[in-house]
Amino acid sequence: MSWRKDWWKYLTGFWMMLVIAGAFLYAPPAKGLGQTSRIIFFHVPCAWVATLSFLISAVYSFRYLRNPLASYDVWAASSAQIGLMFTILATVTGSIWASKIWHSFWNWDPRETSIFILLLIYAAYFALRSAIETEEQKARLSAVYSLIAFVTVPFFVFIIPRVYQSLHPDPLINQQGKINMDARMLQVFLASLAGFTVLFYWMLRLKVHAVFMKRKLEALKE
Amino acid sequence: MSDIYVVLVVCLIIWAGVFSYLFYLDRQLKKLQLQLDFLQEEEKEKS
Repeated sequence: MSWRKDWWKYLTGFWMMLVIAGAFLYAPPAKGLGQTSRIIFFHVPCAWVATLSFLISAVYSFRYLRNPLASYDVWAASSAQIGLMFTILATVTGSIWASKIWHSFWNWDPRETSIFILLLIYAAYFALRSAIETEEQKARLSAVYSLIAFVTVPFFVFIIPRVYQSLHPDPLINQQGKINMDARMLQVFLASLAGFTVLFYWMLRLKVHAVFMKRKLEALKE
Repeated sequence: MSDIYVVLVVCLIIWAGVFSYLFYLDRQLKKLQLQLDFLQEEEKEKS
């Protein structure tokens, strides 16, 4: 890989190392939550990337429905795949945190329930894709499903946790619309969000590139 | 060594693994792309 073209990949590697070091050595633990609160630097960015990838999947699905190009379907499916992976990561990291604070890995708290339903919704997206053999039909139906699935995302990620009483710590932007976080924690948190976003972009590019090449190879074989 | 340093080292090792894997995939895909381009050129010349 050339330095000129791929400088941002090296920078991501170094940036994330700084984020990890900052999460444990620079940021103080949150009041009342102790050392376990440091999971916020990994758990919340995972949830953020999951939401972003579902949004991108919905955007490409919409573009596909307007102009049925196979590449739009590839972008939509790849983005949803990475989103599902980050949703699983957010669930696992949240569950590890819950085991330390609530003394149970799973409590059916509104946050846990909503992320579980989100997982099921997007798992069904892939079940749908694998159930249809015709490429055009698969792309069209999954584009419609992806758009409908994304309508539920703001409810499960932003609305339900703010409406129902939950043991989960307040969201970053609380109900009063204010950010209630130590300045050093906020610096590491924002750096982590940026790092995870670039990481997602890199993963998405790799995934899409791999799918395009697979299709080209299949075309050459024929 | 304090527990927090153990967790820090584990996280750094996980990240090193993820980063190396992505880097490796990136390189392999680029190599494959070059081979594919070459094959496509050959196909064009044949036809």
